[in-house]
Amino acid sequence: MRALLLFITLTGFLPAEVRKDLETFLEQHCYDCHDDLDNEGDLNLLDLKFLPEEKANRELWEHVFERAESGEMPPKKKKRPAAEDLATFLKTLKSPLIAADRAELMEVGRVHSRRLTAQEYQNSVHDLLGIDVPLAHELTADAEEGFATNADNQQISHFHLNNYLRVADVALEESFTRALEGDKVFKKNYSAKEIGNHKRGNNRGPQFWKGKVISWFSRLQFTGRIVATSVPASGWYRITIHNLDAVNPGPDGYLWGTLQTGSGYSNEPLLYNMGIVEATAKPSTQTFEGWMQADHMLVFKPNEANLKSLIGRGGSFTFGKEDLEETGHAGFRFEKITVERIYPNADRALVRALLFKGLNPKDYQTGGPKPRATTVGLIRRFASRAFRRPVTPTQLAPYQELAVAQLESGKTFPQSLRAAYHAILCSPHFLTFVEKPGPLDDHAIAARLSFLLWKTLPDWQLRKLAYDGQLRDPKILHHQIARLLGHPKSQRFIAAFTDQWLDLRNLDATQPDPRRFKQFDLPLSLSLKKETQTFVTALIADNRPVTQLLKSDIGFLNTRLRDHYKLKDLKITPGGGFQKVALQPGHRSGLLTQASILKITADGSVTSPILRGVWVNERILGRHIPPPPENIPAIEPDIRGAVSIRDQLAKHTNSTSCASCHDKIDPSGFALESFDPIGQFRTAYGTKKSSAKVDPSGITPDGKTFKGFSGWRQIYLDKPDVLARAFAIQVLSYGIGSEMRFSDRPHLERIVAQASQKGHGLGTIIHSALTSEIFLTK
Amino acid sequence: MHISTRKALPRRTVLKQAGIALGLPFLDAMMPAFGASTPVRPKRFVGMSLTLGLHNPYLVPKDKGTSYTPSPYLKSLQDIREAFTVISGTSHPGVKGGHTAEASIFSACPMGRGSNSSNTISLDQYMAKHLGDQTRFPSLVLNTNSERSPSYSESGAMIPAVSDPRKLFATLFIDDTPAAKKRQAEIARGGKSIMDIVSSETKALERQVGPGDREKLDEWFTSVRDLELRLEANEAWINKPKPKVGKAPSAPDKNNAPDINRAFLDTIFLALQTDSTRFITLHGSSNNVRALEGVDESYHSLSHHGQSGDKLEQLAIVEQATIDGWADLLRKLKGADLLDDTMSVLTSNLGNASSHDNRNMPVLFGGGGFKHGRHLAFDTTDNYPLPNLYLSALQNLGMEAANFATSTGTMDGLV
Repeated sequence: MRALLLFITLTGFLPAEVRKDLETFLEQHCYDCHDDLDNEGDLNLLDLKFLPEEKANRELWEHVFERAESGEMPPKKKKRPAAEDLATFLKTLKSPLIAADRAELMEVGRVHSRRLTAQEYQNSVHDLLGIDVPLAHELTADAEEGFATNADNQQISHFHLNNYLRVADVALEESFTRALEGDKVFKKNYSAKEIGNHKRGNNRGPQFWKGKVISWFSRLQFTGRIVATSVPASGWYRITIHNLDAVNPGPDGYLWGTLQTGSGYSNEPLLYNMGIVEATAKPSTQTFEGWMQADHMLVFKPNEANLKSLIGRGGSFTFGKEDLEETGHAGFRFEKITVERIYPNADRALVRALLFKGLNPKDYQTGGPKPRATTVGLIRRFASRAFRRPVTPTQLAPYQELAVAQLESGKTFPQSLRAAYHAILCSPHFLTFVEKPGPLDDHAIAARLSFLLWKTLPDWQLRKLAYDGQLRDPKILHHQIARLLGHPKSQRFIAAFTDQWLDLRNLDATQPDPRRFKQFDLPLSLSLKKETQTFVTALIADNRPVTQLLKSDIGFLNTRLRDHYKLKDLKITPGGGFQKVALQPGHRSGLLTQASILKITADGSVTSPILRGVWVNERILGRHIPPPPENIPAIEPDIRGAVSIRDQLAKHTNSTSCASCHDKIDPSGFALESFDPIGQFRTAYGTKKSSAKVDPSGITPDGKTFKGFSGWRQIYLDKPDVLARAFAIQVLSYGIGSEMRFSDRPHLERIVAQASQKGHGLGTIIHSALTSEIFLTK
Repeated sequence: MHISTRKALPRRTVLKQAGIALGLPFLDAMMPAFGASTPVRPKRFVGMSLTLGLHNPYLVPKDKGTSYTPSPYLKSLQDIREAFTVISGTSHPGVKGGHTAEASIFSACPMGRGSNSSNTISLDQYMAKHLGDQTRFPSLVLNTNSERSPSYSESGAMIPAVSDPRKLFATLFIDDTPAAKKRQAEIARGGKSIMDIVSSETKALERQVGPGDREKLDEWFTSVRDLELRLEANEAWINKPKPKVGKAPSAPDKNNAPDINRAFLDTIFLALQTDSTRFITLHGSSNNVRALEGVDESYHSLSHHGQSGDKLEQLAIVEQATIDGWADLLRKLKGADLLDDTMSVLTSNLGNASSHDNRNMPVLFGGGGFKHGRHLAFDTTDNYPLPNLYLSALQNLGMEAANFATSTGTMDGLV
């Protein structure tokens, strides 16, 4: 009763009146199936009251609204309602639903105790302490499906807390050690002779030859291991390969390989990728940076599928006088390697400043003349940065007491300080987003912006604006969004967002059949993600229209990708790595023709129009596809190609209950059947004459026919509003940590309208989204 | 930019995670707090793995079932015939790579050669994760020769092994110095006082936030309490004296790999007898066998025999000694009435070390209360999945596991 009164007061609607107004329409178009007797789809509208203040009831009516608005209901075989009648019905229903949803939103908020993701935690701790050691993998893993930022997907348990306790200790140890004892200096040059000089044991390393060193391609594992480069301690290292050129590059003048690190031996067999390497006949010096574990070494060699393999005897190579270049073997030839330890995040001076601020280093052990006051001050500063808002004395008290108690019990100043910092890093104020229901305050806005676009705590500029209460000024807010987006750190946003929005995180979930897809070697597979990330980055940076997600005049390719896509006439300079190219009509373009997306939506051996169709609907068109009914068996793929998957799926078009979803799923899936599991274009499902032909034609849910992928794509290029709305929803859901709700509709419509006025640019969409009430409310 | 995500931690922190970390005591008072009811006689698992296989023609009996004729290697095990089963025709589906498959012995993970190969959790660590909190050490990861191991954590990180039998004995049975205990207590207390603060912060926060967050924060509060209980239990272990066992096993001959195995297996027996831990892996990777009479080459060289009669003869000496050592563990367990509670497997990633074949892995499986005394022969040309044995082991521990890695069910014929 109270809820009802509240509802009426807040919204001005009388639910009983609303229900009366809906009656005529429901009687004419719904009760036939949805009454107490037939109860189709378990929905009895006849007896359903209108109680928007009750969540479950409201959600049912939202469902009714959505089905009626999209035209799905009444079903096609029934009489269509007159346009006017439908419009009135929707209008009557919409406003009270929005009002009710919004009322709940303002009271309880939608994002409940969202926790930092592993990446957000790592970056925040790195920024607080000036360290660079990988921490994310030590925490309990984030949700693997949906957005990791979604609070409803996040759990908390003693496992998580124990990990936070442990990992913070590791981080603090690194930071305090660097501050108090110094950084490790390590820089070594390895000459050709040192690298190619095999001393004892099983030799799989490069060959010293005519004053230089050559790493030959061999399929034998761990060939290319350079024992001399074993590093003494875990850390970040910069690797420079001097004057690298290719011996026997391919006909197009390039040779690709890999730079990996690992133990180099089979009893600890994993190798970690530091980078793919392209060499040509022209020597170039190339640099790579990556994390290496203690005792691990570099493993460096050409690494393409079609190369001739060097065969060692008994798993070892003895290089003699034979000129392997003359026998057609491919090699990476270089003069020396430099390995240098680096601290990419902060130097020692900065670490010291972060921990001790302006304290004189000679006072580090004691805390100076006023250790208590100094401790208290440093803790206030650290907590305020970690909690990203001003901290009250009451809040600070337990941390300060902890530190002071340590000091008094005889611990050193750094030990006491560290104990307080440790506790701060375990606080829910650090680990979660503390937001009150209703409009967010400036500090909460700064946090949401920073964790979205830089995946870390807000920097001093954002914080100052928050302290000065200026972040709700639209001009300033837009300026900050532009600043954050334009900074290299926004790459973290691109990487994390595309990993989850486009499912790139599952790129390696399956391995393509190595017999059928021999060319899917490491240089190719490791190029896939980068292509998509670079493409999306450019579309946002240039504020290109959202339709360019589907078809664009630019692309980013290296020589391997160009060849994979068979775009022979595209000019890509060998040795130039990834290059921006101008695509011509007839060239494949857009996300859906990129090998990364095509691979993720396949399983390594076969494509699935269903998987691809669902992917396109959910992630590009903004249409949610519910999971299949429980008793539907999986399709058994026939990769001999005789019976095409289209034949096998014909049942969907023939059954009305299946069709209701499959009319939406199948079209884009069939259109994409022109691309195989690793993204190559195909016209048949096999190479034999008897192989079934690909039939990429279909009909969209609104009845438009297409002959193939280009035709399908053109239909959606004409719907930029749909694409813009879908993209806005993805960014917002990811950025706030929750799904969209019914009352978001007017705001989403406004975002799309603003985008439409400015060419539907992706940058514009992001700006509109992040300045909308959706983003600025709990 | 590349970040590899393994073993970023300094060694001592990693060792804390390894089987040498502090676990929880099996205290009656703790039982209600942890929900799961513990069986009266807890069960254990010891996985012994070899890097160089066992010569199948000498190991696998020609006939099968309960009346099998002992093969050359199994002749000396006939006094404990009813204590073990010899299993043939099995391997881990999809696992290849010869020596590289060592990493998958207990995880059964078919790591591809793709860019993001990573391992999955090994059987012993899976057991330790769920049941390891009952003993001082959740698990022990051991290697006769190096720190590499086939035990992998949930995050795919290799657990470094303990390779010094004397250090192992000290860790298990010699009380830490007062200074070391003081340090451990400080760490535990530090954790507790932090959780104390977190607890009051969470309560205070609940009062500040909206009703929607309160439920979530309540979960936080419960999690903090759970962790506090565990930290308290940890502290209790520090002051609890370690079990007294008498003399350490005699130091092994470094040139005798089976003898190094023996030193470890003897300590393993003591660890089980004192319930110091319940999940152990021992990786036999030493290459030194010249101290054995009749052997004058390295183990690796002998295992890659290429059918040479002379090499096979010497290999047989080494392998017989290895199997006998494992059998001695079974005998000791039987004598101490611990055999039915302790499962032990002896296996290797190589079914044929000479040809680097990972199919037809050698498997001897004993203890645990199963009905042994048979040769379970599966198809040597179309192998049966060995992870099914691992699933049987998990269920034998009382775990409600429906699968493990690529298992298709529990092992046929194993009752």
